[in-house]
Amino acid sequence: MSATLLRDDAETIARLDSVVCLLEWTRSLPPSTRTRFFAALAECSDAAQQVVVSQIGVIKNPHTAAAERQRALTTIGDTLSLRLDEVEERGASSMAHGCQQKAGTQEEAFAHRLRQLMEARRISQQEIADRIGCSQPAISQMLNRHCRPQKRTIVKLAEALNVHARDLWPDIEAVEMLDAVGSFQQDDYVMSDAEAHALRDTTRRNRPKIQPQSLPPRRG
Amino acid sequence: MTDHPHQLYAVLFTEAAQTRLGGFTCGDEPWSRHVTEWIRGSDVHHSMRRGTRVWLFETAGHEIVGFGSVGTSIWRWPPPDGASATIVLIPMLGIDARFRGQPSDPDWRYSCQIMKHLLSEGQCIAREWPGDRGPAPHWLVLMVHRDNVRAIRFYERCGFELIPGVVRRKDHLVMKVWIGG
Repeated sequence: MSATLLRDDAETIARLDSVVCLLEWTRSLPPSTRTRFFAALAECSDAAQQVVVSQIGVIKNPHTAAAERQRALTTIGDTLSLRLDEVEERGASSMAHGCQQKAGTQEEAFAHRLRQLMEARRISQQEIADRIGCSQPAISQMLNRHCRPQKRTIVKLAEALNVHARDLWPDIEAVEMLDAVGSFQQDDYVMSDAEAHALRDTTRRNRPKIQPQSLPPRRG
Repeated sequence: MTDHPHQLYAVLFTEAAQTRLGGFTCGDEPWSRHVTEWIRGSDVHHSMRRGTRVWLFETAGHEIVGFGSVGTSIWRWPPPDGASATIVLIPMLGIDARFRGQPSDPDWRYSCQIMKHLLSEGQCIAREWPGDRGPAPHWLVLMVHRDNVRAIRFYERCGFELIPGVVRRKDHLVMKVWIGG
């Protein structure tokens, strides 16, 4: 591509960001699907492009109902030669959530399961929030993977959905560990006597046995 | 001048950098799985929102070897004192299982390079502590699972000592090292 096509401005950079997102996303697709997708994209008529853009708008709209999202995904899948399940599994979340790539995390699997269970039981975010005593935005944050639920919240959600906690988050031990790390960082933690004794005793200053040294920085 | 072939580089962690962690895993031990989840999920962002600095550590060839973090927390002395004390802590660090014990040259061991960096950052926080924020922190602390013997030995080699009689949630022990003047 000629450099003259690229301008050093915010709009160009934003478009390049989108290209990177698209490439990242398609990297996780099977090679044959990927080839089909790019072929379909290259041959996309103006009318087909408009269909895709409008359907992405539907998916990104936080007020869109689950059934409507599903229809939008089917339409995009048909237009771009992607099977419905591939769009759902690989693409919908990244398109809907600003191209955040957290693929393969336990948190992602949890959000997916929670969404599925809520849809199967036709329970809205507000309803589930009311049942477990939290706010609707908190549920939204979990579904969009902006916030990991604590173990006690997972247990409450499981009770509200009539499933086992491990059905929502199979590696519940990892959640307990993460909760422990979270509490370690929490302000206003009251030290135990043993901790206070050790940290007040400044006569015993065990210093580093290795030479502290910053590593050379690099840009991400 | 050419850098040593085992030299690591520190990349300040951002949300965009998370896309590079697709194959990153710190292992399957009970005390390792959540480490991977912390850096790849939303916990890292939660920690950063409260001021923690997080780095990815990579080789000259841009392979991600591990990550580390340094932050502060305000703890309170037990009653009747109840006054607050700022503690510098390492909320989380992890090394990709593929790079454990590497390279064989102990002077360039990746874990050691990472810990040197975190200690340096901790000392920097203590040294540059603004006077109007109360007494400067003197201790750097971290939490380690009691069954993670390999990590405990490593931290001891770096100068950390276990705080006797302290067991935090989920069988975690607390270790400390002096970073004050």
